[in-house]
Amino acid sequence: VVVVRYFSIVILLTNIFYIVDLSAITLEAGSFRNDQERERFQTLTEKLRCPKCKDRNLAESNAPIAKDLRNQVFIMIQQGKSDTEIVSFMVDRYGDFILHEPALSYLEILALITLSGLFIYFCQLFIRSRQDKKNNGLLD
Amino acid sequence: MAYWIRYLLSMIKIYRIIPLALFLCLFVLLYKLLDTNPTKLPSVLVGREFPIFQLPALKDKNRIVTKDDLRGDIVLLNVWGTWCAYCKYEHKYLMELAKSEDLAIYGLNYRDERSLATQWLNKLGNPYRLIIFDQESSLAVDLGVYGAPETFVIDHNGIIRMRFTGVIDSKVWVREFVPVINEIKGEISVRNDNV
Repeated sequence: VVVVRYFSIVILLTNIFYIVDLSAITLEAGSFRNDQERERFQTLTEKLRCPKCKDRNLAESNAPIAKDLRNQVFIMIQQGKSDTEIVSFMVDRYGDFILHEPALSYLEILALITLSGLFIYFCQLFIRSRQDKKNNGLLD
Repeated sequence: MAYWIRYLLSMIKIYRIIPLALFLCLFVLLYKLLDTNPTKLPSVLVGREFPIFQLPALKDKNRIVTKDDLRGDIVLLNVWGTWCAYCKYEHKYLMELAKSEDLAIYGLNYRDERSLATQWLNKLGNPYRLIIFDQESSLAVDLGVYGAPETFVIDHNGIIRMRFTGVIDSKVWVREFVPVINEIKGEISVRNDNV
């Protein structure tokens, strides 16, 4: 029982810290001049992926690199850079990977074609074998 | 002649080749997937000129370091920080590499404290000719650095030839770095012959 209680306290504490951390993310970057800039910051950091922790975007991640890049986004917004300029700045340095939806690479296109081709082929085989069975049945 | 070719072609029916073609596609796909390392990011910087920067040196905060300070035919720029545990492990091998005459090893200390970094060097030794102190990660972001240690190889023309993420040891050095360095050495000797 003691162990359970201990664990529940630990979990509660980590949750609290997590919430604090999340609020820190939005505040750390400094103050925005207007709501429009804040919104742009929000959408940009959600659009860009954290290079270190691949399943998260810049807005969600607590990794130091995400912090650096959020800072960079903030500075560039303050400098009056457009969204496309900021995104291409990031892609220029970190590659297509930084975008959550990177352009299809030839490997992915190949995978798509092959797998859909195989799927269609096996579907056809399946249908044909069923038809054959039917026909055989009729003949019998 | 043409008749025979036409006859042969008519013998090969396209739908018969489909499974074979699909199999070949699958083979190529799986083969390519074999050597993709998901933790390795493609560096967009390889083949590009080293970015322009202006940052203080670690040892003397009044000294401004720029791209022109990275002198040497083959420059190794090692990105590190005292917060990075693997950097400590790598440090020994860097000390070893620093003995080599061919290489100019420079350091990029980022997201760090000046005092901690100096302590680290006093304790473990200094393999670097000069260390750039980048507290705000400005050059690190320009280089697309996403962790430490990372090492860049820059050639005699100031072009980034290679970027390596992770710890360098003797095995990694021979496997990853030596081929690139030999290539640059070859180019340098060609240049010297022409002059």
